[in-house]
Amino acid sequence: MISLSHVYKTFVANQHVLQNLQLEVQKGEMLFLMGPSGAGKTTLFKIMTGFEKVSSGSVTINNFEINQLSSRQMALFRRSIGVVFQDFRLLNDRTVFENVALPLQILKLNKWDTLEKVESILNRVGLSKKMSENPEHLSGGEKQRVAIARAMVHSPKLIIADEPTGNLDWKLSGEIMQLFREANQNGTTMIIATHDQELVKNEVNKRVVKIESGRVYEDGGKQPCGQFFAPLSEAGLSIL
Amino acid sequence: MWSIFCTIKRSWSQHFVEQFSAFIILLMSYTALLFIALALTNVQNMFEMWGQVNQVTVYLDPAIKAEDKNEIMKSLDANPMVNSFQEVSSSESAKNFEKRFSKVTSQKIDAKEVSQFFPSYFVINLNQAMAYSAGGTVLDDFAAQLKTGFEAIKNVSYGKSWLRRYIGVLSAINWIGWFLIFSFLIASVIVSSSVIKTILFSRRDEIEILEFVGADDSTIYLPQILNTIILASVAFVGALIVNYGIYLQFKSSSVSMIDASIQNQLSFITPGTFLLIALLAILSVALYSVMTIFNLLPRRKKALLVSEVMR
Repeated sequence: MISLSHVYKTFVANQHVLQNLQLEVQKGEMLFLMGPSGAGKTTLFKIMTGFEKVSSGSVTINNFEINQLSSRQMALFRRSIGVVFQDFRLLNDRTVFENVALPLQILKLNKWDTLEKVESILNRVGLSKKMSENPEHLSGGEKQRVAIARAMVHSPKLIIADEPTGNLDWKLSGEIMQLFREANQNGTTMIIATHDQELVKNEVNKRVVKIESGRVYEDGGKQPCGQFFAPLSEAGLSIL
Repeated sequence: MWSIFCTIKRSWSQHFVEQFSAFIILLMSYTALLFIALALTNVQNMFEMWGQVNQVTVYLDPAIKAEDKNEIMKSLDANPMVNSFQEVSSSESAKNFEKRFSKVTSQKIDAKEVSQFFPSYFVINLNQAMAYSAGGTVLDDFAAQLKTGFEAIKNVSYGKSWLRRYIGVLSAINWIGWFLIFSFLIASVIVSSSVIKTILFSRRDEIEILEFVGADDSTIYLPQILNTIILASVAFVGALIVNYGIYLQFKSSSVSMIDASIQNQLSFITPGTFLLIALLAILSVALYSVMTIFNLLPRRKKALLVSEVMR
């Protein structure tokens, strides 16, 4: 489903943000992309969503070769994925309903199908009673649930989330992870970039990929998290 | 279409002050621009009227023979440009001079004594008044034809020198007018570009979100371009109404002020000029909007679009 091969990304000459990054993600996987700030997670996130181009290497997602896409094809590719941000990125001049309906409008779905799908997803995230409210009046957790609803409303095969719980407390983070888990159980491939180890600890059937200095430092495969963090911590310490 | 309308509506509700200011500035620019075109049209009409020639004077050699004179008269009779002509003899010419001379001085001259200094001539009334522009060359040809055809014709006069001066003045007025029209057009595109920049800058978060959910460039930027075109079109129609009001007001209030013949010459901007200016105004705003949006795109996107166009 996702294949990153020999990916390099350089912003300043000879300073690689990503170097020789290799990653394969299978359909239906739930992958946590972990690493400290500056490790290259956000750059990787931008590359996977087509907002940055790789300096060299190839990125294939959903059979789209990201580097080769025209602007029109790029728009089509983005319609096949869902994206969640740490800072929610909601439009404050539109209602919760309008925010969630945005991808369906882009897909030119008719009014009734849009209504049905948005109501259904807002029910799932527990915000059906707030669909006519402005996002400004929602709590942080609610905002993130709206963002997740927007990412899932068009049933994408892949959801990419960049620090989705970064601005939330542990309780709200748990709620958000529950939504991701449900989406994953329904067959959606999930890639979640985070530096929050606590968030990953309790997840089962997950794959954790650790990035340090722009490389895949460790690819945990599908295994419990406890076994995974000990060597990572040591590695981190040795780098420091 | 509906989503474009919604985007434009939202843009107006969020940036009413900017858009309304832009509308007023565009309205003022277009009003000034059309007023110049209106003034240009009417100045041209006036000059056409003043520059019209309907009489030509053919001066004859004092020693002209009767048969040569007859030949000339036959030729004038046969000429389709000539409506009528009359001969003025040297004594009549001298008398005419005497009359005019008596108006400016108390001294008297005897027409008989000075008649030898005045040539006899034909006054030709043309079928159609010749305007300064196209008629100029026709009159030149007519005069040349007479002069080369008959040795007894010494000179053909139709106010050539002042006609040339008129042409010079009018062409200068035309140049200045069109220069001002283009200046106002440039001002209007700069205004619309500034509004687009302001609106797109304040919409940058929204644009990024729209891009993330898969909106293509036309979905994101087309409403903005359409909005600017609509703004310019409405301002242009407004300017047209204002100018038509000015024209009607001037025409009705000028009855007592100016000669009726001049008043008949007053006219509104010709449809051709109007269409040309409208097309220039709206196309320039549309084109500059696209260029402004293109310049605001991130470098990677610009490169992608350029390569797509090149392909």
